[in-house]
Amino acid sequence: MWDGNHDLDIVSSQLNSAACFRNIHCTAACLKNRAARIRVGKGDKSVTYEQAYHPHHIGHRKGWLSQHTSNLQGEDGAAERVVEDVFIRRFMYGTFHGCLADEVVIKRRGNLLVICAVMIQKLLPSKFYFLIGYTEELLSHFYKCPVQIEMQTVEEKVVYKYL
Amino acid sequence: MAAYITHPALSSLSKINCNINAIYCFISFSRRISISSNVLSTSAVTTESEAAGRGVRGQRRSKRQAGEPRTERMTVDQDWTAVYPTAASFKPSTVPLPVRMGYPVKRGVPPAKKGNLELMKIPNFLHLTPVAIKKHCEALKQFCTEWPSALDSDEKCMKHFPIQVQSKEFVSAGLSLQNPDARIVTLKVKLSSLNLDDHARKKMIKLCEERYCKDTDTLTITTDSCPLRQQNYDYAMYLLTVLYHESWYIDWIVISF
Repeated sequence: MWDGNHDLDIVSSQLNSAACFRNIHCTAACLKNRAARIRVGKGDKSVTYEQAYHPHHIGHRKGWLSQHTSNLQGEDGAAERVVEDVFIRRFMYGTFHGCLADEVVIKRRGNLLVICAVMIQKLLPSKFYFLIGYTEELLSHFYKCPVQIEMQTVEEKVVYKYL
Repeated sequence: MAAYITHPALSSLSKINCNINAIYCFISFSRRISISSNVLSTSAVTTESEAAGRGVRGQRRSKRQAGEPRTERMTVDQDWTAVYPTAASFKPSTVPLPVRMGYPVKRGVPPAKKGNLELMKIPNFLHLTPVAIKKHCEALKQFCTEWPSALDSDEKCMKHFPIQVQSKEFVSAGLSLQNPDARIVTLKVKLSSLNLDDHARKKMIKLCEERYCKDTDTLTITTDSCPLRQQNYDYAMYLLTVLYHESWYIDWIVISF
């Protein structure tokens, strides 16, 4: 004999168990196919080598902007290095505002943090020297490690092609 | 006299480079002002520049022309260790080589070395030429001593120094140079080199359990319980000493039962 109430109880109890819940997952949209890509335009946009090649060319036509040993097998500290890198890039972008010709390259030699940057000759050399000293001093106090900036200047941004 | 004219539509503020009678001067003008390429007298230029300067935020910068790069003045037989004494990133104005790096544009060539980020990204060994390494060795020689001539084979080394102590050094790039795995000490010794009789040997092997390898007759003690390497080494030597003395001790009470 079909016991409707009993079956309904079984179904409802199974629906209430943990396996049957469906929740809404909310994450930020990653837009992986639009990241770090300058879209092709009319032909008047000048791009540098770094901007011209997309992230999937890293390792093939582009090198790495940041080098450290934390991504090797058995090494730790990768997340901390990434956070440091992000901070350093924003710091350089803000301190040398409008002077950066290209992305900042960060190298780590043991304890030493080396920041390599290419600048446009927008400020006087004395102003550049001051900003370099200021950056080195502040960052070495933040991170408790020696910081060295190696700077090159160019007259204008080195154009690779026009998109 | 040469004057470079930039198209006003491309930039609102641009500088033109005037060479008049070997006097370098820079004029900045806004989009509305355009200067023809005909003759500009010196007086006209100065009044123009002053007017333009006052018009545009009153900035008067006397910019020095960038000098020629160091590569122009380098001789073939120079001291390269003075140019790159330590590890440094690639500087195009100090390396006199016509290096190109990068993927070429269609029907083009790889980009030149000036402002080339790819050349800066990669590590270079310009500071490690054979001459530089020779200099390093010469400087370090005064701190080195000769290898003892009596120890010329592996067997002699094993005979005189039967205990082998191993520890690892770690090199990494980060804020802290310490690695907790550097405190581990491994001590290896062959039981045949220790003075053990039959009973002592059997007791030693029983005490060691899995630290003894029968094929190579080696006892391996690994210590990592102390925070410092020196402490771990002392602990390992202490364990070896205790094992040795305990294996010689004959436990009559256990045997009599």
